[in-house]
Amino acid sequence: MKSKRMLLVKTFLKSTSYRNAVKYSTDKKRKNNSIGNMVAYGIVYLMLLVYVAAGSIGLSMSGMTSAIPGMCGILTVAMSFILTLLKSGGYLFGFKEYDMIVAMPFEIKDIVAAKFIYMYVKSLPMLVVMSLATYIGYAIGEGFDFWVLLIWLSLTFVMPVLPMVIASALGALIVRMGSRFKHKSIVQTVLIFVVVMPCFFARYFVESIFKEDRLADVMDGVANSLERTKKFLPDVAWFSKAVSEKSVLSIALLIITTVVVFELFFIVVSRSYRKVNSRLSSGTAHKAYELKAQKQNNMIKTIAFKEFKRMTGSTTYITNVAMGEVMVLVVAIAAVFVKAETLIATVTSGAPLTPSQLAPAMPVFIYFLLGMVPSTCCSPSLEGKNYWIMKSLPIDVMTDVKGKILFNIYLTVPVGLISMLAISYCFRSSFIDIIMSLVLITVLCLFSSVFGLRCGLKHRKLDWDNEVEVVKQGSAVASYLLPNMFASMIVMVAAAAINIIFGYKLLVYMALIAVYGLLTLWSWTAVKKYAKR
Amino acid sequence: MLEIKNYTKIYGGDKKACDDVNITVEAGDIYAFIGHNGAGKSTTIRAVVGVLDFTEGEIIIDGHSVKTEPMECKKVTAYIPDNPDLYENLTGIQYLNFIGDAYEVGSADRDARIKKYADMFEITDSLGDLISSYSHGMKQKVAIIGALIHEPKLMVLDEPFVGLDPKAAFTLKEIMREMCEKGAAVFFSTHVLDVAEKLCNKISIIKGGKIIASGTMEELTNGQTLEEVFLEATNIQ
Repeated sequence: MKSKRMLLVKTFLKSTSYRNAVKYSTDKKRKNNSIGNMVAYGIVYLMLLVYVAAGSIGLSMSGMTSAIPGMCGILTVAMSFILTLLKSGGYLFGFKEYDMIVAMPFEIKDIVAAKFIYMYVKSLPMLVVMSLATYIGYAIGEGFDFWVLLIWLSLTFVMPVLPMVIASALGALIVRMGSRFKHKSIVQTVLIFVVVMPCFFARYFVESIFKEDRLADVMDGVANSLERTKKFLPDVAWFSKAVSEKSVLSIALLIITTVVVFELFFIVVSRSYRKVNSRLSSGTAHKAYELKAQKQNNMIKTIAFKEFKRMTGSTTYITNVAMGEVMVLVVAIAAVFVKAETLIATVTSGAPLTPSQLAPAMPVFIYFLLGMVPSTCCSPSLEGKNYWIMKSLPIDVMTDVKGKILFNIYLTVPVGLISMLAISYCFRSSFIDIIMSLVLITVLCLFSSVFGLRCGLKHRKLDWDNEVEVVKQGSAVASYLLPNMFASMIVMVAAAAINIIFGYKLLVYMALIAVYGLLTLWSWTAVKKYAKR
Repeated sequence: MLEIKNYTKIYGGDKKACDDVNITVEAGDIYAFIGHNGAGKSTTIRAVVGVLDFTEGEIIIDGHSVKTEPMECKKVTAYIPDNPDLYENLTGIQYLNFIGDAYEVGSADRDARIKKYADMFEITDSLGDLISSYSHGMKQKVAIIGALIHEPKLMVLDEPFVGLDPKAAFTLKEIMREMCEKGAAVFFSTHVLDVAEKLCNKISIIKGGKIIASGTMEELTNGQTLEEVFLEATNIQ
């Protein structure tokens, strides 16, 4: 049966690989797009390598090399857990070709395992890049050792399995619970948020449990956090011990635990797999609808409403797009109830900064969360096989574009404004600070909508097999997410630094508004070009 | 070959999509399953091929229970959904090889069958292209070839003639007849009543999840056209 499992994995991979498209497509445009996507991924991975390596080299230079294996382990565990939790439902259940695959002579256990392995293989490049990047710092601090590198790299392939299995089990449980309800997507989305949110804020919980006094130094705080977090994650502790002490027992513990949990998971999930999928794919028409007078609406608003319904109809889509909004609302609620010093200490890991110094950076911080993945980035590809509907209707392409942007504005601007008001209240900001931060967050949301659409249209992929491909790992999302994230971090630090060093707070606000305004205009020009392509 | 006994499917605790359905398809039968949209045809078909769980009853294929021996059932069955979702990023031949591997069909048999059916459907030249570049009809043809690659004993098709050109539809009918002459059975849903009338020896009409008429074509039509029988039975006239 193992070979059947691998046959499925091979087919899943081949059916989504750019290489296959490049090799066999007779469509030159499609070939070029596939090559472009591969290059885009290469650039994104390179950026990730540089970013993570910088962090690890920083630890090494500060004499905290021993904390680096923990950093690698926690990064791997956290990324694999959260990403898997967000996409496992879409990958393991209710996928498009479910009928075809399940009707063939494959054991259910093998189908689930193959889907899991596919998900694992797809995550590997990112995880390997992060692992290699952390090793760079470790090798600088401890010196190069071939055996350490070998253990490090080998365990990089083992480490993600356990968190992925646990996340998949949670994801399966969520789908199973959600499938019992009429509004399956909404229930599943709420359950995912309930599980994911504590994970995002886990670091702060861990710190608050162990906090004895104020952290004197930010770097010390990071190293201490890593050490403390290891106590909650035995696999991270095993990994750290395996590479730093070359402990055979730790290697064995990690591998054996992983294999046992891996096999157990598929046996358990396969028992109720068909039942859950039956519930997901079944439903009967209501037959009690009463036709009333219908209203004519503005077309742009109609498209925005269509986008809203598309988002709320898909757990994968809504969790990806609305995650930032929920996080921002949590921050906003926290801002109302906690002191400014506490909020700043939490966000900056205890850096000694004042509200006034941080003020111009706060809209960028909110944007960092809010603009993580705009709906406009996924929306063009998500049209998929329904693309013909918009293409065949007498709707101008720019109307469609404006409708998509409007929906993302509806989604982000109110949340952005509320959170800025909450932070302003927390910081006791001046009137001018409040006005400028509200203008800045609005401009940032607009930029995110338009730039997201630029990426979405440029890397539009309509022939996907599973919407996870375009929502979570599409090149449109990749080409938006990482550059935007790194740029936001740099801008955030630069805004605070310029304000602290030179004290030109108002100028910083105005410069940021001008720069992001210009970037929005530049993105809009590109949107017009790609929309008409 | 296929026995559906007291099959019942309940959604959401109380909505009966299919209620006490009984159908027997014997070797050599070409069996049509007709009904309105939403009558329960696809729900029954999906349960037969093991895709959908069901509430009550039993489904037996070639002596094996779909519930307790799904692998034995699947090995002898082929299924073509109403809108086959093939892997768009695979070439036609890559897809057919995947199906061949899934059913463990040896190289020689595989080559011979792919060649035979691809020639019959006039699609051999396109097998090296990505499925995403195929028209709907071409995708349907590839799905049919995939279903025939392991010489199934039971072929289950949901609306198989949708999207096929007249020549391909004729070829499919010929293949169905040839299969049944060799002792296999075909069970399919359709809205094309003329085809069902000319092609099938047995038929069932389903309405609101219940079988309202069933038997051989002669018994059911008895001098009338199938269309008249169907409209009478479903009270549309």
